[in-house]
Amino acid sequence: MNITSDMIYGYTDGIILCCLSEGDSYGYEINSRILEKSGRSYELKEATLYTTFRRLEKQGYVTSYWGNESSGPRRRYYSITGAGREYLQKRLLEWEEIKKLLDRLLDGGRKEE
Amino acid sequence: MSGEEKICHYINRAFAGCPAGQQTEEAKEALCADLLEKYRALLETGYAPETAYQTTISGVGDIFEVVDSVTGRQAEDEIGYSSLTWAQRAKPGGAAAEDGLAAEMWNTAAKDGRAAEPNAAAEIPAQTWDGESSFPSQAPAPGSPAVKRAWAAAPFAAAGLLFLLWLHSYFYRPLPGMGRELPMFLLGAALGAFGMWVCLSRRGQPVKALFPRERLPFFILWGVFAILFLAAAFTPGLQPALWLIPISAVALHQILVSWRAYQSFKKEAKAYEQE
Repeated sequence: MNITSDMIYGYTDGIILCCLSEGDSYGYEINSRILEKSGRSYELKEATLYTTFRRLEKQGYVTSYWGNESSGPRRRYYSITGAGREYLQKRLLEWEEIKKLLDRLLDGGRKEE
Repeated sequence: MSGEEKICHYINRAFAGCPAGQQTEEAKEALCADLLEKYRALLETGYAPETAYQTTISGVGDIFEVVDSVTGRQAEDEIGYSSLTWAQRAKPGGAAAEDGLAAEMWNTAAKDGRAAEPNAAAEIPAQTWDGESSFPSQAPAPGSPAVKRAWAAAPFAAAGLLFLLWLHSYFYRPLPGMGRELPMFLLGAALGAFGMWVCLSRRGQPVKALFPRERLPFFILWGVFAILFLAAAFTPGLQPALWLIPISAVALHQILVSWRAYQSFKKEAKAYEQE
């Protein structure tokens, strides 16, 4: 099943921070991980990924540095900060609440089936 | 043009309207690195080069989202950029982005009868763009192709002038304060530095990128000249007539290359002024 991006768009920053909480990474690797974790049903557009990185960096939730690739263009690595981890925790708690709320709201539909 | 080159070209074109600077260069480099890695991964999984290229580019999404985030759109208030829809931004004759990639996307979308939606249009260049289009309104800002060409031509111009200087010194009379050997020494140093620069700037690329097929005749010509030059240098009987042929030809070629780069630079500068 392909998931519509609208549903997840609001949680892009949380998804990226979640990936970064496992270790420093760069655009392509994060996207590959998302693709893998989603069972190949969801992939971020590079444009969305990159603008999210920039926004998170401005907000102080991630920092970035250049990789030292010996050939070709260098990779831009991102690292989650303390503030980023706190923000991620808040988003995770928020998500738990949303899940419960949606379960309650959509439960009627399930019963009707 | 290989798929990798087309990807870099795509990114360069998307950022063509951005003010040159560290932020723009960094954004381009990071995006290029990610897209190239994705492209190579697709090739490894068995994709054909063209399909891999199209898949990579269609996965970018709305590239102008990135461009906007890099520029910060400082001029938004002046032109009301932020209030424009994507289609208005892309439409030729609109308030912004009259040329370049956005206009190309718009034209292709209009031709196909497709709405100029960000995602739909962003995929179009991958399907139709041959990567050889010109940059009609690109500002010759630092880092732009025109400036790069001009800089690349500079060593050729310098080498050509040094050749002529050497010819003058050798066959006519040494210039004041300069022996006959100094221009040749400077020439050798300049060519050596140029060669090093070419190799360093293209490190990591395959050897064939250093010697593109379309320039092969020039390389062969230069090789022949180099052989003539060396033959004349080590065969006293052949001097100085044989020296004259390759040296003059090389000097003229270098000046011609520089002149063409200068003309190209001037043309782009003029287009920019008109815009």
